[in-house]
Amino acid sequence: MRDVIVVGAGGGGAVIAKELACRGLDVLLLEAGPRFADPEQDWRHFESDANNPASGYFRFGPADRSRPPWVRELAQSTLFVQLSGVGGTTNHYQGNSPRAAPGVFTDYEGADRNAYDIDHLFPFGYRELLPYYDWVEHTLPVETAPMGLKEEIFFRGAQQLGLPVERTKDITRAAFRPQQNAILQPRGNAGRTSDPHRLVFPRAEGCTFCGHCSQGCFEPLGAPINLKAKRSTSVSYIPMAVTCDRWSPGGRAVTLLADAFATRINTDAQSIARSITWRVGTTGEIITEEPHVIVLTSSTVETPRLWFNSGLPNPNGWVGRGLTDHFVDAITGVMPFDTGSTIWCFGSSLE
Amino acid sequence: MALLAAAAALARATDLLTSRGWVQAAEVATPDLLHDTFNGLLAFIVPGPDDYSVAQGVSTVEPGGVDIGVTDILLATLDETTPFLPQFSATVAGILNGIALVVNPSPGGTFLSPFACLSFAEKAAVFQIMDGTDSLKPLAGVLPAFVAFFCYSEAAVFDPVTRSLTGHPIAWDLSSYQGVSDGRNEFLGYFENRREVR
Repeated sequence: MRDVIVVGAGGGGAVIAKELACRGLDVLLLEAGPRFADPEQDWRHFESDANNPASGYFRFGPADRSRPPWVRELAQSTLFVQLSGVGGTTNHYQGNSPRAAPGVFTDYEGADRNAYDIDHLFPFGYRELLPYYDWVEHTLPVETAPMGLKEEIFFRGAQQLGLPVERTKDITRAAFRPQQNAILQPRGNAGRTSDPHRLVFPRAEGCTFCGHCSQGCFEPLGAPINLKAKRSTSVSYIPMAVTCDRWSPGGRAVTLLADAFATRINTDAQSIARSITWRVGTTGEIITEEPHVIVLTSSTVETPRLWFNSGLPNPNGWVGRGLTDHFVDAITGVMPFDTGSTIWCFGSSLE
Repeated sequence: MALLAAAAALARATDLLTSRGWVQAAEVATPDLLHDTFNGLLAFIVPGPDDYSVAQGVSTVEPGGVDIGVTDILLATLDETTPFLPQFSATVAGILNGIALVVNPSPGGTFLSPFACLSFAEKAAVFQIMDGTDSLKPLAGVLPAFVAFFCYSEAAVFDPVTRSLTGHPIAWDLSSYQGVSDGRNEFLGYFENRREVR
């Protein structure tokens, strides 16, 4: 019997799979969408190719792009972004990696405690979470981002408004700072030229300031997959996970199955989860396996969906609550000077 | 994603769609009517110098949604992604034109589509009514964003087979976007030389 089956190879599942496998557990990692094993071949800079809601490679749908995307009915008029595939939504985020506000946890005692939603605090303490933040931030790594033109203008605006500079990893007050992001620092020619011939690894390392984070990062060209600039789990944790046997004493390589859509957690008479069933997208084959442990990390939307559809209990009422998601924070302001044209679509270091 | 949710909401609202005659309208919609309706929608979301923009009373000198040339791609994408709701594009057109006649029973104009004959303010009123109708609210929310995506992306000149462009996207000029690149000469150092936080 396998030790662990992890459902979802995105921001959470890839981390858990790597951490368990490098300690010697036998881990199967299931991912409903595509494998995304070769970013330079799989991805492009064109928004039409990447994020077309119907056929884009970052849609929520099967690996076969000729087939329609998966449908989710929503209880209200809303818009949220789902992405299937190894790496999950870390493939199209901009690397922004802030910590959650301490005020939304049970151990917060700040003077502004009542400014938070104290009726729905996360049911554990911030201090309990900190060691895990530290470890993930070290592993990715998460570092202070450099400036481009947009960042420089933004910082001037923030200073003009009188906002203080945040100097800690933790969020302590209304402030601004260069963002902590999971993008490798620019080195060599990176950020210093737009000539593609000079942006090839190793002449360029880290972020090339291309601005195409949301179409999937495959820069610098020619870099090994684990040295692509933006640290999506598909290029950071997954390469570590599938090679645990080679770099971690006693470790075992994670078995990664893409195109495998988990459809049900099967329980016994006592409502104990015993096995998991998934569907192979290309063949329609239905497979059930019984591991010692099942870990659900298939996003803030799909995890509670699978949980409820499987008839699992919800004794503390937290299934489907506490929704946290990468969302598009945008600030609009009018500057008293010409900021120049729109050179590229996303900034690397705004926070 | 939201588009599919909107389609799913419509699929659940067959009683409403039938009672208002929108299903029947969708079944007899001609290609010309569909083009007219969606051109009217494109002009509403991204006005330009085209006839539809001029007719609605809001036009621009710069190219707009109709000029960009994504009408056929819009129609095809709507239908191909919603196999559970046949003729989704025609249903959307039926809804827009049906509510257009509620907003203005005699819109005049030379277009086949009543929606395309409305003024800009009347088109906004159509969306206001949709936004106030539970089963249409998701569509009202996502349709402008969906149309804008096709206008401002490379959709009109993107070849999905070669995954490359067949021409220069008009939208890049509209937004002063310099286009895709493997990198930019943009590195300006670090804010106040800050390299870490503790």
